[in-house]
Amino acid sequence: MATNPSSDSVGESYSSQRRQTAQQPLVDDSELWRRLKLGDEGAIADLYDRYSQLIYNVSYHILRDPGTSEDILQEVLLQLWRVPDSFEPAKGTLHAWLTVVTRRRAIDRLRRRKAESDIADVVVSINATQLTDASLNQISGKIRVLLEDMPEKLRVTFELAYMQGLTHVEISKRLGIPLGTTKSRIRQVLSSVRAKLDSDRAKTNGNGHV
Amino acid sequence: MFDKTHSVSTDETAEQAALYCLGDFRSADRKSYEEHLSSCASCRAEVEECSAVIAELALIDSSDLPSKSRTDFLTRVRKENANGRHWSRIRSVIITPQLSVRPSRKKNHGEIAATFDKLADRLSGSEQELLEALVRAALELCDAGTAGFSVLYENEQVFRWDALAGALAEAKGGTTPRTWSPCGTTLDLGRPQLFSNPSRCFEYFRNSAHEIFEGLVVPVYVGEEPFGTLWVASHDERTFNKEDLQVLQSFADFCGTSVGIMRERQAKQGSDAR
Repeated sequence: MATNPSSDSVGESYSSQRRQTAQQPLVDDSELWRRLKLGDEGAIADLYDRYSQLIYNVSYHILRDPGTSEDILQEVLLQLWRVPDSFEPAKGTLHAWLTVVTRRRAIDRLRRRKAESDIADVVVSINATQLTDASLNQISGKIRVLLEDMPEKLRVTFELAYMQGLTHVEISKRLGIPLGTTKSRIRQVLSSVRAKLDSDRAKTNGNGHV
Repeated sequence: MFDKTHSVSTDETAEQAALYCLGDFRSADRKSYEEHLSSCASCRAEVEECSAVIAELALIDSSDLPSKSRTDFLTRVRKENANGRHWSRIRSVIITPQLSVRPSRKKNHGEIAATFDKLADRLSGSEQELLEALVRAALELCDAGTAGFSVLYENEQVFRWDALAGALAEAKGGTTPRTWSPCGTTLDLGRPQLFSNPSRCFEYFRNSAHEIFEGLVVPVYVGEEPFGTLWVASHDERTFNKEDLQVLQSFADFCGTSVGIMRERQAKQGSDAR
């Protein structure tokens, strides 16, 4: 680990977040949600403290704009405050719901901002190699480290699906590959990222950081 | 599309969860998949894992949240409560989650496709003609009592019923307040909403010639800007379901794109003329 400080920092950051999560839940989400349904302002303040950084960052990764990311943060939590039943516990956890809803809103905002022309038309004219070079420059240090051992085709897929929010149909068109191949790459890339995160975490834990 | 439950994860279920979490699904598929999640523990677990990866990535490459953000947010929450937005009253008439549990009624896809063909013909006409064609189609395909298009006039802070078909057609041109209406609520929440007896909350509906039993409202955007809402209402015991929502959502998407194209074309014609 000492020979690769960048990898170390990925593990540090992730492990630090995990430590926060481990210390956090004095009151669980279902209790906060129940209080939210009763109109308890304290519950939405607690949820803000618990999830604001997550929501802001999920949005920021797509929009790269602090102001709009903050708007999305407010929209998502206000939606939950105004209509708590927007979230349905039978379909998953609040953490997953907030992550997915935020991402969707950020992508919608990106698409509306650029109208379809910028996303679909301009994009098609760029070839995959140009895209790889340019996009990796956009990806900041820690995530870049996470991707460095990954095959180029997966890195490109990651960039298009995760950072730019393109659908698998748009990615297929852009890279000139079948839809099934794109879907398979998306699955593989998320699986690789997960494995890498787990590996970094295991190394960090092994070093006694947690 | 996502009918059967899965006892184990497969490549296909992992792909579906990944696409869902990344925001890939279109509205109708997303609703269908979310409904599937409530009965498939295996896919719920896949979604948990994928969303956790997305969350971890977001937190690894963390950008600082502006320090004023918390105060701004909580001030907004308090202000909304204090200035009479009365979200608790609004909540009492919103029954959107019921859409996903009501029994399905199969739509006639041939009829829907034919309707879109007819709507596409309207693209050479005016925005008003398009809106009127949309509400007539919505009225018919959703078997509604009234269908309407409420255009948002931001400066005046009102929605105006610019196109209406059905029982309330004579109310065309009427307005509802931006800050206190089913349409405003739907735009605030940024997603379709189902209202039950909305006059219990929005008192001005009590003067309506036809009581509204249910109202299904879908936001419509042109580019990034809210344009208005497309809605259907029932005046008897008719209830709406997710198929009605799919129809309305597809019309709303079509409308947003079409109006955007019309406006671009007008702008181009204007600049060519100069």
